[in-house]
Amino acid sequence: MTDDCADLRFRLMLFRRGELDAAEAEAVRAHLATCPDCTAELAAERELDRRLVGETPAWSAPPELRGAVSERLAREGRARRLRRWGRAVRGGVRRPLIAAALGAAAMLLAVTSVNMLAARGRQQPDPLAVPLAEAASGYRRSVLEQQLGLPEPDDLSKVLKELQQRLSVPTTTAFPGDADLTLVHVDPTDALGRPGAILVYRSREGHVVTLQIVRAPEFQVPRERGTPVGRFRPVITRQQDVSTALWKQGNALYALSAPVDESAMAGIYLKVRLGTSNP
Amino acid sequence: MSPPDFEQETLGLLDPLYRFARWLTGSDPDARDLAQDTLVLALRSREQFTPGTNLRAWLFRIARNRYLDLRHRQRREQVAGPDVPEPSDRADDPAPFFGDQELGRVQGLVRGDISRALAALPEPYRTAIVLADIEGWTWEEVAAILGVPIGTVQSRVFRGRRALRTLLKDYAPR
Repeated sequence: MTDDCADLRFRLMLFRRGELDAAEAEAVRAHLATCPDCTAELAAERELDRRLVGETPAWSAPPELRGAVSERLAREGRARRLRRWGRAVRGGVRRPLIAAALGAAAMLLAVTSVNMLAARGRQQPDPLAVPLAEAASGYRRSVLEQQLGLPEPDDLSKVLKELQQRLSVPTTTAFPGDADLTLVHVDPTDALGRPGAILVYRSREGHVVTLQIVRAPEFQVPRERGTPVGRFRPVITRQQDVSTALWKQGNALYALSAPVDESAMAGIYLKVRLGTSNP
Repeated sequence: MSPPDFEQETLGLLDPLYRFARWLTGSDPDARDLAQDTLVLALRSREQFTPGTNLRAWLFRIARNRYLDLRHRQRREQVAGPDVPEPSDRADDPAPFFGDQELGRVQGLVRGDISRALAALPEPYRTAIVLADIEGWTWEEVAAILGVPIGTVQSRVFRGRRALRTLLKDYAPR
């Protein structure tokens, strides 16, 4: 092998792939005609090409993966569209809340399998439909993010303080966690279809529990819909395996979600409510 | 691209994405997880995708970054074991992949099988060869996925193929 050969080896790769211009390719051919080493090298590389393409498995996605991915993407897409819809309403013409609720209810009927209105046998759209659906979607998103193990900010209390300044959301009075519920993540973006925050806790049993907080001075939680828990009356509902407690506290709307039944949710609610009332 | 279009188009890339994930992770369950995570992450960050640019390359880059991130975490949690050296991104990096003793051991494991030989390569070399030589991507696309210049990709393919031939030496060509 000569210096020319060493020089040529890298270009031989481009030659093999047909990526040299005509003059360069001609120079390579001229060298090959006189050099058995480089000719053998080219043959060995072509053989490797043949084996790489012919002897490696051509996997395709298993059918059940396709099904699972379609389903997950559709779920993500629904949650995204709901969030975007919430933002569009906030950013557009100021409409009365009832109109917003009407639009949201129509959207929910169209896109979710949980037909909350029909289930309740009501003729009028339910003003709680939007926050409850958004609470469930925020919860599912947080669970997914926890499964994905997205990076955590270093200092959660700092994130919370910044958030309070930016959005006037009273997150400094949010439940800071205790031995049963550890605060593991703060997502300072959207909650309940508005700018807000989702605080993610990990329960002692390993469940993900979320507390979503938004500033919503105009929003009223109908008292008659509440369930007495201690001296409070949160609205507690269950969708599939996840229960949500919804309540108003000052100017903020809170939604607490966990994969437990309604009575266990009442217990968690009381702990978090007392924790937020007595910072 | 409207959201359903985006979902459809990314779903249409599931086969090559799964294949890539198989090469990266080396197992079916891990490849399934990686492919799913990648599509969900892509959907969430779709605003960052510029319409008209290469969706496939963008998706694969997400997949690879996700894989590297997971691997990094796993390694932090494990007691470090023997591992092939990571290449530097410098095209002229002369670090050999395997020492003499290591080479004999790996050759014994590879037993002339090209897939095993590929799996034994350090990930940046394996990925470059899989994409450029098996999947038939352009240098530009591979460079976009790996986040390195084209020259570095070419150098990795060139050196990775050298290492492959060394690993297969006593068995190939058939």
